[in-house]
Amino acid sequence: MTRAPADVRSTREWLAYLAGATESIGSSLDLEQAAVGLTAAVVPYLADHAAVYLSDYLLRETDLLPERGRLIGGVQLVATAGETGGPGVTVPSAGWLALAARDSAGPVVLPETDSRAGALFPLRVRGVILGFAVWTRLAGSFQETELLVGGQLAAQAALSMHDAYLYRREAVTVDVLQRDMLAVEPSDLPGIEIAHRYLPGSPAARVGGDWFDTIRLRGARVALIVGDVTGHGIRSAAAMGRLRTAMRTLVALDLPPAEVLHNLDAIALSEEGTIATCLYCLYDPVAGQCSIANAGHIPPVLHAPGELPRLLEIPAGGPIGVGGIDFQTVDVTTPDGSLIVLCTDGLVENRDRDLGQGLTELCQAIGKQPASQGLEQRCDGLLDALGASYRMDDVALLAARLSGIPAERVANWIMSPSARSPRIVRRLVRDMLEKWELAESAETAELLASELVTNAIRYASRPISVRLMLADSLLCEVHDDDHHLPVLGNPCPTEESGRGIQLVSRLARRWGVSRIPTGKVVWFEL
Amino acid sequence: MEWQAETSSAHQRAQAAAFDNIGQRYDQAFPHKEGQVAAGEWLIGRLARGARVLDAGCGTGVPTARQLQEAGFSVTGIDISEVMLTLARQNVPGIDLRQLNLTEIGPELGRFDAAVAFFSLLMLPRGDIPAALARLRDVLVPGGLLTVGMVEADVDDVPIDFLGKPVRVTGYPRDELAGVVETAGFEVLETGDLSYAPVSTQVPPEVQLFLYCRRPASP
Repeated sequence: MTRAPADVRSTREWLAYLAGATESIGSSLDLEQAAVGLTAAVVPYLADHAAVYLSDYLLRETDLLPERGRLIGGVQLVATAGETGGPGVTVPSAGWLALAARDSAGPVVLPETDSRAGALFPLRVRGVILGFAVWTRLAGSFQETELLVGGQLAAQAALSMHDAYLYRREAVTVDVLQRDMLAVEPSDLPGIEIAHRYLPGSPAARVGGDWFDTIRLRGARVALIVGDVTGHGIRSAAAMGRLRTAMRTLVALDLPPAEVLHNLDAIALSEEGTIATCLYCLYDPVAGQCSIANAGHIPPVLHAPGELPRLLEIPAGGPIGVGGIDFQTVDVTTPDGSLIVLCTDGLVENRDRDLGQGLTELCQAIGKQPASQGLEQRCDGLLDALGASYRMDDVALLAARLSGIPAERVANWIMSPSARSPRIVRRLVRDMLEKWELAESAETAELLASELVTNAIRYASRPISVRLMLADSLLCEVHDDDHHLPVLGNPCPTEESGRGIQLVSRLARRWGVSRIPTGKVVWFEL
Repeated sequence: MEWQAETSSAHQRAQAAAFDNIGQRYDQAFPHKEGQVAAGEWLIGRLARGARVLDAGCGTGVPTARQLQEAGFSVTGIDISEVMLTLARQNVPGIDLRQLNLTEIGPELGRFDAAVAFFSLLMLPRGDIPAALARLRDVLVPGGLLTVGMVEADVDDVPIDFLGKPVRVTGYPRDELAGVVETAGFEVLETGDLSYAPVSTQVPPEVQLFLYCRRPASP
């Protein structure tokens, strides 16, 4: 549009201008774009120079705007257009402008400087001031019509900016939510290396029902979990969050995988309408084995060294939340150096290929990757190879290199409970730690191990077993067939028992008790 | 004594039945017996070709009976399990195999330059172990060598689940094992230990003890 003196423009011209300007201001859900759109609409039609300042509150990702009220906090220059004119011509300082905008409902005519006329327009939505726009020109002061039109544009821009702000805040909220839900433990676990990816179903959805998890368990075992709540968006994400928390709790109870799924199913049944698939893989780096149970999820892929990648045949059971399904645990030998890949159907299934074909392609893609390639690169490679950028659904991918804990780092003894057991255990622990060149820990380890054994022999009727493991820390476990769990209490000064656990809790870095089908395990780490 | 003999043979029958059932799965669960192979090497380095060696509790014949035969020794294998002996016959054709318990070793087997007992004393109650060791000593020539492989533990004939079958096992802490072997009339020349993780979680990882012994040249 060409520039004409404001007073000679017809109503028709103004309306046409407003229609075009409104469109360019409101064309995107982006804060900065709306600001740029406003300056572009104004220069050169109304002014030589235009600037938009926005409140820090609006620009910071996580801050909430004050519900109502004045512009508080600082402002930042977000967009400018046009020439400010010759030397000596300055736009008034942001602080001054903010002050001017503070109480005004409508446009403020600024005092002329160096024959430049200026006007300030607060960007206001429902009583909240988001910022302001300033424009200046050499061609004389702004007319009333121009101020009205300018005010109209500012109101339009403020609405767009507020929408953009709300959209961004929602997106940030769900991103934080999803990241938080998918937060996993640090991957520096002994005997296993883990990498993972989560891609939402579409940029608009941002959240979904897919999840993965890794949980460290007693004895350097690691739980690997991938699940998929049916549906998309925030509702599935919320259901996912609940199931994931329930799952973590069940896994921490050290139940066999099929029982974990059985209990998860019972929990989901109590929430009407939550249906999910889930794969639970419990890796034992000492045994070199994964115990896997499946609830209607796609099978994992195992790539053992020197073999072709293959789908692990785990009875698929049925989804979580249906009830009455007999989940089964399958033990799979995983030679050290194996790669196991767990994913959701979003990775393998799309418009062009069915699930079976997708899984075949996944196996092929894994087979083509050099075994020496880093796990992070392998994840990216798999997403590329399977065209994850054209997905229809969200994608969760969990890859783990199962390197195992060498047998020399593990010692295990069974012993019939007897009065001499604590003494024998002290000796066994001392010898083993000497061999591992950990003499400095020997005294504490001997003491605590013999305390646990002293507790165990009191109630055990069958042989107990004692295990030492040297991974990222020194681990000692005592298994016995008694189901009573020791309690950390305050023994009275005259009581003989109950001190063992006190000592363990004081001297060990971590300790715990797990129920197992054959009794219990009490363990500590130094 | 009559009663004891009967329970002892019932014990033996139960153990034999368990191993008949386990059969080939034994080698699948214990695929890489580095410790046992190294113990075999120890003997091979100390015996002349053609030496007579007794493999007491030979199991499937793999790896030890085969290793000893390949080293040029004349090998006799004994085991309580018929199925294990059948597997040994296939795995190591041409060796002398007998269905015998360690407690039944006697002069009819002849004299041996060396004997091995890898994880076979494990299957006897503690009460039977001194007698079995004495019988092993008696069939060795003076100065003859014995290599023992045991699992370190402190149990006497306790039932465990072994590859899905109930088996009764016995074990000693290392210093006690050495004492038992010495009391039976052997000199312990060397000892070794090794942590070993079988490829099956039905069998827990174990600490293996190896004792390298000699029947003294003069009693």
